[in-house]
Amino acid sequence: MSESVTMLIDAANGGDAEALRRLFARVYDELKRLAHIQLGRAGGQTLNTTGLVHEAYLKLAQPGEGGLTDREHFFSLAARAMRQIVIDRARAQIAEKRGGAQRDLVDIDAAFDVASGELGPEALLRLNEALDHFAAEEPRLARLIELRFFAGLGLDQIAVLQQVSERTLNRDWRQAKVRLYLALNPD
Amino acid sequence: MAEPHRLHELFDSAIDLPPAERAAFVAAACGDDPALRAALERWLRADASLGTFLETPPPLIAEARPENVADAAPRSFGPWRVLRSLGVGGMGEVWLAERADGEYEQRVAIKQVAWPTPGLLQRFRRERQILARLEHPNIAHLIDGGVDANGSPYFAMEYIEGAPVTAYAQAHALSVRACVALLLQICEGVRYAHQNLIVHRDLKPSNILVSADGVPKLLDFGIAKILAASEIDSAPATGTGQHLLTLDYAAPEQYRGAVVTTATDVYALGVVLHELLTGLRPFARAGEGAARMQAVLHDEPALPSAGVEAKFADAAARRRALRGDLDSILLTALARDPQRRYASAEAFAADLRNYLEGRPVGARGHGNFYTLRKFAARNRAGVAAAVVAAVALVAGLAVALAQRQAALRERDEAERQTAVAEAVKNFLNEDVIRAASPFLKTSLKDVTVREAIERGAGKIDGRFKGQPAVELETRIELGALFLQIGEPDRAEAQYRAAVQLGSASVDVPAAKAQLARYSLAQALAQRSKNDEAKTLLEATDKLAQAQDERDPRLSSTRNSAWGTYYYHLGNPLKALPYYERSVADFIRWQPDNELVLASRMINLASVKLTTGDIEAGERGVREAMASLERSDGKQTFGYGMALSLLGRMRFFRHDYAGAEQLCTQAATMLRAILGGDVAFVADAVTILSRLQTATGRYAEAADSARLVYEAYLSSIGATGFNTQVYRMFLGHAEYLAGQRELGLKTSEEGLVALSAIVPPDHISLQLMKFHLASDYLDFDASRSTAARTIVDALDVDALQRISPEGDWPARLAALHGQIAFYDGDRERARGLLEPAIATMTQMNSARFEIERAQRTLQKLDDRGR
Repeated sequence: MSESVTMLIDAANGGDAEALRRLFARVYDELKRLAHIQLGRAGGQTLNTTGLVHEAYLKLAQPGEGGLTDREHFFSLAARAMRQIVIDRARAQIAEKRGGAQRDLVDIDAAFDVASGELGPEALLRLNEALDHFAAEEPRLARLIELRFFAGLGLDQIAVLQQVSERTLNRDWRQAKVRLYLALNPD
Repeated sequence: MAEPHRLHELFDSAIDLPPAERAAFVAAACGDDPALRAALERWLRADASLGTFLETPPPLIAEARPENVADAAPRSFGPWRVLRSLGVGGMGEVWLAERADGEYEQRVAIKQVAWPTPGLLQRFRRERQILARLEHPNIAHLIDGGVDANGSPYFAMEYIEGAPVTAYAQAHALSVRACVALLLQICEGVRYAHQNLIVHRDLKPSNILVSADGVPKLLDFGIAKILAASEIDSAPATGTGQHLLTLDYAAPEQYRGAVVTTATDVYALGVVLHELLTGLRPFARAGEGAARMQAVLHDEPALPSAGVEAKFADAAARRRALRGDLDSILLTALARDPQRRYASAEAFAADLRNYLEGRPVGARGHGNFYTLRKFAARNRAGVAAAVVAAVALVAGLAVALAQRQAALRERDEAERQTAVAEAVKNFLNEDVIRAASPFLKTSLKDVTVREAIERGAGKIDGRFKGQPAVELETRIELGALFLQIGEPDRAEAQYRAAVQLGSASVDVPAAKAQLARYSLAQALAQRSKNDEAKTLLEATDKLAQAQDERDPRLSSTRNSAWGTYYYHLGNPLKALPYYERSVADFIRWQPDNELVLASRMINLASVKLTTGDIEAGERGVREAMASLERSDGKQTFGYGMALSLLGRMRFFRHDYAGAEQLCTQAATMLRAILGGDVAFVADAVTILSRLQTATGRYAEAADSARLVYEAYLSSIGATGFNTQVYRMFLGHAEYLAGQRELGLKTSEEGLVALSAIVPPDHISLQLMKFHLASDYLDFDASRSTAARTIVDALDVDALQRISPEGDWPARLAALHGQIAFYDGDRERARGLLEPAIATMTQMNSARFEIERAQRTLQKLDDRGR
């Protein structure tokens, strides 16, 4: 490793867009690698996303360096990277289902089975898109969704990470869910 | 659209209300604003119909089945069948389990580590045996430990049905005296563990369960060390290893990431007692998070008696009972500076007993210990705030993790295994053993030798069903590798398994069975299990007589085992002929294996060196090095050992710079090859430490000595001879580095431990006793009697053999001179000291020894005037 994650985070915080890009790439690669290992270890069944993010942190962060802001930044980046991995995977699944035909369009009629809590690939892509729009409006709530949903962190963990009370965060979370849900299901 | 801000606020308020009251709230809040009302109602409708939307992370791969995403408890861990989950603890999930094979009935609590840290597996394996030896009525016994189907380590602990000590005290409304008595029992367990050199590091009520009959049991002893990310105690608290630290009971040095000692456990015990007696932990009123951390780090706790919770029915009586003695005891246990605390659980217990029995309490009367004051301003911001938040984050993450991955389906591989057994043996021989052998390879590309061997060892179990001879052979090979990398305890385990195979199966040839027994005897001897080694050697000699001569391998192993036995018994002269025969046998057995032969020769040379024959030793080492150079072995383990030996000889000649250069080179090389500070690296570092003391670099010397001590502690355990010898040396180095009391204490503890391992006149003790006597004399007159007892029993010839430095007569004379000074025999003192100083100066002896003699002489001069 030529440059430490902490150095990259510092540079990114200082507005260095290239550092941010490299940082993201590093986190993304590391998560993919760890996911691969984890799947191998668990017999190819499921991923423990929280464990994955933490493991990536262990791997990437230099021990003894970095304070709280760095950690929050790291987890935000990890959540972003997790999201990217999930969405890439969903795209690949859709492409596969269509006999390998390369189609970027999302099937609008895809069932959006909210109640199950398990989103299919099409639903995931719609959610991803809606989250982009939502982020323009409410960046804080959108980040919360990334941390909670894509990185699988608990609200209690996020509360510690962002140094806000769990009560506040719980309200934010209910609102974030409602607003994203309504964006996906305009009545 | 209604004004967003107002909508957000109303939504937040509405969802806090019970559903039945929401309609009225909406009507009242948006009375004159239909758009706002419509929007709010729409949000609340959506909120009600969300279900689990966004609550479950997305399945990441196509094959993921919904039923696998939920928590899937593993069905078994090794021989343990899971009965049910007991909940999630600080390190991960805990299960109740029982033996699956029905061998005998036993219930255990299985703990699995949720957050693996780097090196966890290695530390786990190393500590497991130490912890398994802890047997005490107040400690939950570690029964088993292993690695599950996913490769994660787990512990099986004695299952305790009981309540956390705080809950127990509350439920039984324990009186002040009953609380103190209960804590005394807890101290008993902690004291026992401390005696075995194990610090808990994470004592808290949830780790102290009290059974229905009132017996407290300590859980998770030593586990925190295994879980820590760093090998060193002093990992900074920001490091990833601290995530299991329980903030409420952690001592200030744990927040700081400073060295953890037995006093750290004393602090936690103090917090627990404080909570039992007052209902609150110290600093509980200092707020949360960063504010409390500031208080812990910078303030002394308030008087416990002043903080008794009103919830106690007897609050007023309690306050009175705490005032005075218990206040002092608690504040001593809770001192910020570990040095000012009770040094051990034993000292803490003794004072508690004083209190119960109405004797004067030691904690009082040390007015300088404490100014019993309320805390000062504690709003100092700084790095500490970030530290506490970071620690809390990771702690939170660890606790929240309950998701587990489904265990691998059990597969019936017995048949397949039989078929591939031969291939596996080849695999182990070719891929693991050959790749790992320190003599054949230098450090591997990605794995250290140690890791490769560990990997090999992990692959054996269950792999050779029905092929005991193959398994025996493989285990002997692995055992030899473990010996080569300085891990005799693991070698012992392999050899034991091999001996078992040899005696349990008729398919194993007699010579192989005997080979296993001799190999085991060798490992036992290296671990100073002298009696067991001797019994085994004699019994095997009777069995093996006929085979011995015809089988050079067996003969070589036999001679090597006997040699090791005598060597570790402190009799290198008797060991020497065995080592010589072993080398001769080896040449008969493998005439062309120059690399391994070189290592045997180096071994032999080092024994010769110990007998005091430097010339022969040096010759042997140089021959072996030449042989290694011929066979392209300059980057091997054996070569590193040779460098280390040459460095040792330079040291004996008091060529400190030359010794340092060689030993540093050796340590660096061996560390890279072996992957850690194991015993063989320690060999080189020992000399570094000695030359550092001799040249006045005492802080460095103490660091080196500590490294050596810890390397032995982890490889041969607390009962290993070398462990305690180097504990004594550590004490000496600590003394020189300015920690005089601590140093003497460390040395004395080592000496006491050694007396349980070897006879008091053991030759190897001479050197360490000499250092201790010298320190005693330097300390003050009060220790001169103890010093005299030691010095009288020292033998100049033995010292010269152990450490052939040539200056022993002068050094002993210097000690006698100092004793004479304390005796008031000034003439004799001067007569001994003056020539001793001249000789030691001329021979470039250790600087501090010369200075000590000079100081005494100075005192003589001063008084003479």
